[in-house]
Order: sequence, then structure tokens, then C-alpha cells
Amino acid sequence: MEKEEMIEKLRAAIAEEFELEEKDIAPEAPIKETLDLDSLSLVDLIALIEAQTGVKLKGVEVTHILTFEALYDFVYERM
Amino acid sequence: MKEKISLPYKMVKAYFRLMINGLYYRRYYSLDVDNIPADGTPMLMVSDHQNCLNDALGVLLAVNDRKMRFIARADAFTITPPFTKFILWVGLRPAFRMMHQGEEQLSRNQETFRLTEIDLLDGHSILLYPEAGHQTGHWLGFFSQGYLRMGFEAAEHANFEKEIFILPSCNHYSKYHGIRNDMLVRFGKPVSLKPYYELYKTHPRTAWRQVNEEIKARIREMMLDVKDRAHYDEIDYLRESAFGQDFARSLGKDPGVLPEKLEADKELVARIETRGIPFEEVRELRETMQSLGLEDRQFEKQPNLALIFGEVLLLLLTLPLAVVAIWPSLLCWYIPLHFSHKMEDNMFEGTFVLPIDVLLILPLSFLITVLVEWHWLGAWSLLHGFALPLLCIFEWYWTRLALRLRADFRYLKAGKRAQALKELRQKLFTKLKNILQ
Repeated sequence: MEKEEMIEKLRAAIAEEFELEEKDIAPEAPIKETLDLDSLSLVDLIALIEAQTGVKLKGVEVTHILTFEALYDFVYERM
Repeated sequence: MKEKISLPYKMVKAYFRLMINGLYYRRYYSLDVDNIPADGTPMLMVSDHQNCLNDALGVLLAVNDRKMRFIARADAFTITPPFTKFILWVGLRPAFRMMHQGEEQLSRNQETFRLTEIDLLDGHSILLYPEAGHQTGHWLGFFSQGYLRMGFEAAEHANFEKEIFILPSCNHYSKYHGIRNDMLVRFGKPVSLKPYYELYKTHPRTAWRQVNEEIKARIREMMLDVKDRAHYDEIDYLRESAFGQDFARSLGKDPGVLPEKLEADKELVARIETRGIPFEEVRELRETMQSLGLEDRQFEKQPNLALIFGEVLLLLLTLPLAVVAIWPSLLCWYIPLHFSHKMEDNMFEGTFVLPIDVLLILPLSFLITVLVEWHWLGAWSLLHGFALPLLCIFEWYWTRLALRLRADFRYLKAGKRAQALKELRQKLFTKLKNILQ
């Protein structure tokens, strides 16, 4: 999967799961505040990423990622 | 469904009330208690988290007609088995957080969720802190939505036939550290989840988000929420100083009464954040005062030799009683405070000192005092035993006076530097008054 394709796929899936507009999930937007990401939502996000890309992340890793752009880079590196 | 409260629970609570209201705090306020829905109403109470265990104890004392349940950090359940047994009996349930217990422990929340939902549907009241950890100052942190998952899932399990309420509440302290401070607990208007049930059925996260925003707004209205964290220390200094007290008086509020001071502080912080002030000058003043070991009150009422002589005389006259009061103050305050100051997170000070004193040190000190003195004093030893909490309070104020005396000596020693600082402070306060009033 190309990076652009992965980003599109993830963005659409995150928007659907978190009931947001895709435009809200801008690359530079802060993940925690945009998704209201608490421990439980984080588990949902990790499951979603795994379902879409096959990449299994650890919660601790994701908590250190600040923006969606950084998240996409992080996931793509592990694909 | 109303729950019968057992006699031991009532007795433990009465003991806590006596010790916390009478000994630990100087004044304790519970405000707008009428906003709490009647016992038997399913209710999740959510609050800002300012001072660890003390927050929950504040609520516990304000709610008298029911047995509250609490959701607390899971590590509180690992201290000692007897303590775990005690907190489970009091009504605490563990919450496992990724940042505290790690990812692999998160699934253990399912049991807490399940029990909480059962409690809710049985009409009980549950208190939790969506900020997860306490803050280290007067602001509202990130507000997790876990409580809304619980609330809506409980409603779903009851086929949306039960009305579940979220009650916003707020804690506020005159000071976070030490004892004999003032504390207040305030309750906001409850928010019913019922109007959101239809939205939740199709868009659960949107429903969580909307309720969460409403709850946060209601808590912010009640609490002191300093948004400008970059200048928190400067704002806090002004709030605590004579400037903040004069500001409160200018609004017709009494700075000595915590609820009134809170309202004045909210207005002061709002004006500082909207109008802007010369923070650099405030920082310089504050840091210079700190480096010289001076206190703001000394610039209002300048220490002189007569005042210092009076303080020395008072300390000497009361020294015998202060020596007597070392027992049990050494165990109650000095040793626990010494260790709590060494903690990485000093906001745990109250959590460390209060339960140790109330549950262990004071009952133990009473027993030891009576057992040792009974042989010589007979029933009079009981009088000494019951006076121990009062001796602790006396010792605290005696130590405060000794520290005050030390600071007053420093002021005299600072001489011209203190005088120059006083003039600088006066100029700055006049400038700030023009900006903010």
C-alpha cells in the first residue's frame, strides 16, 4: 500500500469511528484533543489502525505521537 | 432504590468529619448541596481533581444521605491489604489507567464498569474524576469521556428507560500544602442524559462529546481555571498577595471567606487573561522576594523591633506547651510532612498525611497516651488523650509563628533592599490596578 493510499484509508476510518468530518482530521491537528483520546478511545484507535493496515501499535507508542501526520508516518514505517 | 447505611459506616464517617473539619481544615464549605439529585436517582458525579484523596473526602463529607461510591486510581488498592479492605468497604473501586498501570491492565476496567453500571441502575451515586490524575494547580485538565461510556451503557442496559444524571462538582482549596487551610466543594446543576439517548443510539461519540462539553463548561463556571499556564506562577502570586485581597474587597467580596475569594479570583484571572499585564515585572518581584526569603504580608505591615519582640515573647511564654505538644505532632505533622516533601509529586501531601493521621496516628497516639499515663493520672489521662488533636493544632500554629518570626528577622536584615522592593512592589501594584480595575 502506498503512503497516500494508507493515509486516505486511515483518515476515512478514523472519521467514521470517531464521528468527525474528514476535514477535522488535518495532518497537523493534535490527536488527543481532536479525538478526545482517553485510554479507552486509544484502545479503539489502535484496533482501528490494525484493522486497516495490519500494523499493531502499543498504546504507549501512540501516546507520544502528537499529530495525525506523525501518526501516519509512524504507522507507514511499520508496514 | 434507597440504601440502608450501616452503623459502622456512619460512625467512621462521623469520626472522619470530626477530624477533617475540626482538625485538618480551618474551614470547610459545601455549597449548593440542593443541586444533588435525591437519593435513589442514578447519578455520576464528576469533578475537577485538585488535591488527590482530599477531593473525594470533601465530597464524602458533603453528601450525608447516602453511601457514595468512588472510582479511584488502582494503585491506591496496592498499598496494604488492610487499607485495600477498608477502601473497598468505604465504596472505592479501582480504575486502571494506561499512564499509571500500563496498557495490559486496561481490560481490568471492565469489572469496574460492570459494577458501576449495576450501581447506577440501582439508583446509587458514583463519584469519579475524568481528569484521571490530579492537576498541579488551579486549572481543568483533559477530561476523559469514560464516565459517559458508563452512563450511556447503563442506560442502554436498561433499554433507555432509566434517566441517568451527571452532576458536575468542583473542589477548591485556599492552599494545597500544609494543614489548617480552607476547602470548598460546590455542586452544579445536574445534566440528564435522557435528551441525548436518541443521538447516542446512532452517534455515541457525538453524544459523549456534547455532554462532556456541557459538563466541562459547568465545572469551569464554578472553579478557578487559569488558562494562561505560562504565567501561572505570576497570576498565583498576585491572587494570593495583598493585591488579590484588595481586588476582592473592591468587588465587595471578603478575601477571608473562601467562596467569596474564589469568585473574586475568577474575576481577577479573567481580567488578567483578557487585558494582559506586565508579567515580567511581576515575575521579577516574586523571584526577588523569594530569593530574600520575604513574604508579601511584610510589605503591608512592616516588621519592626517591637513586633519581633512581641513574637519572641509569645513564643517563649508558650514554649512549655509547645514542648508538650510535640507528642503527637511529631508523628502527625512533622514526620509525614518531611517525607511527603521528598515525594516526586508533592500534591500527594494531603493524601499521605490525612489518612495516616486520621486512621492510624491519632487513634494510636490516644491509646499510647492513655495506657502510659493511666498509672499516674488515672482518668485524667483520658483528658490528655482527647486533647491530642487540639495540641496538634496548637503546635502547628506555634511553628507557623516561629517561621513568621524567622521571616521578620530576614526582613530587618534585608534593610534597604527590602525598602527598595517595597517601593517597586507598590509601583507595580498601582500600575496593575490601573489595568485591571
